[in-house]
Amino acid sequence: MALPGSDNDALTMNVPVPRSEPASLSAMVDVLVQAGSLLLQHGADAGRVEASLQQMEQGLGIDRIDAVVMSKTILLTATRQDAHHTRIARVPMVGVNMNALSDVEQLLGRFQQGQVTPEQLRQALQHIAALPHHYPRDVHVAATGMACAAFCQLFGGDWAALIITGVASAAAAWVRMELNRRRMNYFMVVLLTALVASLVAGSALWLSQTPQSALTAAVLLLVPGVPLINASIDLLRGYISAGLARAATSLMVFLGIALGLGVVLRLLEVRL
Amino acid sequence: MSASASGFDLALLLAEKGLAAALATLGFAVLFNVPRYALPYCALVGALAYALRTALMQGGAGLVLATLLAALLIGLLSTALAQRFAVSVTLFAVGPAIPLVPGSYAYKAVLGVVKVANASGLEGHGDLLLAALDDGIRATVTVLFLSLGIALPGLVWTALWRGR
Repeated sequence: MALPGSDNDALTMNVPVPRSEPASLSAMVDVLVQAGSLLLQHGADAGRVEASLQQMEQGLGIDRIDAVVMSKTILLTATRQDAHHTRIARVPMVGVNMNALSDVEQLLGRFQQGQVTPEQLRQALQHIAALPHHYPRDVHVAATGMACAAFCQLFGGDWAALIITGVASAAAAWVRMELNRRRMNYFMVVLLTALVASLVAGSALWLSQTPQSALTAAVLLLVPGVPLINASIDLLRGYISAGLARAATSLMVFLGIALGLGVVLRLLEVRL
Repeated sequence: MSASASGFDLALLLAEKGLAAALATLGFAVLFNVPRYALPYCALVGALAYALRTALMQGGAGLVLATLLAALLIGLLSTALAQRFAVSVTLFAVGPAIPLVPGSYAYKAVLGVVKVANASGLEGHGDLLLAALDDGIRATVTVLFLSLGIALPGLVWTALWRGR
């Protein structure tokens, strides 16, 4: 890509061109925070975010980077000679996105090898942040239905239970997307989604020989798999505060699932 | 299925569970926006790991040990795949891990706790509490060992690589 501040421009024109380096310390901190936020909000564990940020010292010409990563916050101080700059960034959660994670990591890798200038890095990070999801909404809904139907098979459900689970969880996935788009509180999203999933799955009581498998599997789309695994990886690697925050969030999600499912079980008088 | 099931029955069971796990893995990989080229590998790793866990549990291993070994398999395969494609391990590890997450135990545990809190009188409390505790412990320890198993091959690889 053509860069406004590349060396060719500087040679051919006499007007002062904004050079890409040496950038100000605050601009570097902004780039670092953006890279860290992209990693954290798309499902990286705290240790990985801190390690990725600290590896950038040499490439940016910074003497020292101190990063503290918590579950939804990044604190970062960059020090160069006797100057230092600090930023506290709140990181909104947007959900697991492996494509964005791997794009950012490959970009940081190329930056460390010197193939990417700091200015290119900044632009590429903005590009990744704006990338749309690979898969359209209807594929997302269908994939959720297929995954939960497969779980129902793993729990020993019959064909009727499989189909009901698929429909119930696909409907729930759609409801969850709509509620998330309206920026509803996460706990309410979980509660209402679980309610929808188990209400639809409740029809298995009349149509299937194994209604329990359908009711158990239909709410599995809500299980916070990645936050849970990240929580225990954080705890194992010594990032206790990030790990505990994620574990507590997961526990609240399980409470939401249990309440939504529990109401329906009570209404239909089923025991799981 | 009884422990004395013939080899053929076991193979059939593993194929069936493996296929279901592959579909579950595939579905979650799509939700996690895993790039298209990686999807078949994710499904394959998910099927192998779940089949391994099922086989171990058929052989009498407990949930936690079987999950740990299945997670190690995920860790090994996804570390190898990550090296091959020069991407990070999680790309291949996250989808296959999801069928091994003891999600239903976890919300059954919470549901059990809510039932205990809601129950009137003391009789029957013991059974409810015990069931909730059992589900909760199972879920917590399984998740811990699952993530340990997935992370371990990568950590060992990094340590060896740094040592060189």
